[in-house]
Amino acid sequence: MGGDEGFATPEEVRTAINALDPASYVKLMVIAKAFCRRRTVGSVVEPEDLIHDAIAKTLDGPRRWNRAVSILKHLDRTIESDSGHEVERREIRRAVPLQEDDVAADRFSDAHAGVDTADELDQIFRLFKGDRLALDLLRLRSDGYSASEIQVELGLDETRYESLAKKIRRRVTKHLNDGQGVK
Amino acid sequence: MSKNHDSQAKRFRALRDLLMEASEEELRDALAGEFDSLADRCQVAAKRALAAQSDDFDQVRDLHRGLGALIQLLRRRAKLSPEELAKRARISSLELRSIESDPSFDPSPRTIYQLEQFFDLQPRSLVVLSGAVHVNENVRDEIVRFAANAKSVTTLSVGEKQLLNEFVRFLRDHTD
Repeated sequence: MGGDEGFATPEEVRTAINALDPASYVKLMVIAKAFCRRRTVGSVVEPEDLIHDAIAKTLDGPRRWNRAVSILKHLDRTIESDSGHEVERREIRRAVPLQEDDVAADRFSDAHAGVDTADELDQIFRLFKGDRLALDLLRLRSDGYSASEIQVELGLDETRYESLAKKIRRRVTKHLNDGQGVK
Repeated sequence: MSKNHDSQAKRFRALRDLLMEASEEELRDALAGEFDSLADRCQVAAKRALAAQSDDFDQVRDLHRGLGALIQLLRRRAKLSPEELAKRARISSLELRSIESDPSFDPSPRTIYQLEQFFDLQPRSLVVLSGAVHVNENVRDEIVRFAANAKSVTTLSVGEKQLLNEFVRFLRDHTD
C-alpha cells in the first residue's frame, strides 16, 4: 500500500503514533472514555479496545489516514465511527428479536444513537448554565464557527476569548473524562 | 431523525475538537491527578496495536518467502526462465521476479490464481502463501523451514525435488 493521494503509508502512521506526546495520548484516552460511557452501558468495551481498533484499522487500511488532518483527529473520527457501529449492533441484538427485519434494526440504531448524542450535548451545555457568554461561545463553536469568527460575533478581544475558551476546555475535558462537570 | 442525529454528531465533533486544542497544563488542571495514568493507559494500548500489526507484517513476510521459494522451485522444475513462465502463465515478468526475490512484495490475486492454474496446484494453496488468510503457527513454521532449505541453483537436486514434492503435498493437506 503506498502513500497515494495524501494518504499515509503504514510506516508513516507508525511514526506519527510513536511521536504523539503525553497530552495527545490523554486527549485520545478521554475521547475513547467518552464514547465508551455514552455507547456501552452494561457492555465490556474498554477505551483501550477502541484505541487499539482505531490504530489497527488505520495501519491495515480500512480507515486510511489522510495526512491533511492530524493523526489525533483521524483517530477520533475512527473511534466515533467504530464505537457507534459496534455497540449499536450489540444493542440491537439485545433489544430486537433476531427474526425482525433490518429496517427495524436501523430504526432502533438511529433512535438510540440520536438520544445518546443529544444527552451528551445537553449535559455539556448544562455545565455552563447561567454563564451567557460561555454558552454563546460553546454554541457558536459547536455550530462550526472558527475562533476569529466567534471573537467578531461576540465582540471579544483575543485575550478575553482565550480566557473563556480555556475555562470551557477545562470543563468539557473533565466532563468527557468522567461524565461530570467541574466547578 | 437522521438529519437531527447528523447535526448532533457534528456538534459533538466540534466539542471534541475543542478538547484537542487544550494544552498539557489545561489537561493536568482539568484531570487533577489522572493525567499520567491516562497517558500511560493510552500509550500501552497504542504500543500493543503497533506491535500486533508488526507481528502480522512479519508473518506475511514469512509466507511470501515461502511463496517465492515455491514458485522458483516449480519454475526450475519446469525448466523455465522467469520470462518464459511469465509469458506462459500470462502474468507480468516484473511481478514474477518480485514474488521470487522480494518478501515485502504483495502479489495480486490474479497473479496468484494464474500461477495456481499454470502449475496445476490445489486451488487456494498459493492464496495461503500470499498472506491473504491467517495461518497457524505450525503451518508458518513449516513454510519458514521450506523457504530456508530451498536453494537458488539452476538444476534441482534430488533433495530439492523431494523438498518441493513434500511441500506441495503439505500445502494440499493444509488448504481447504
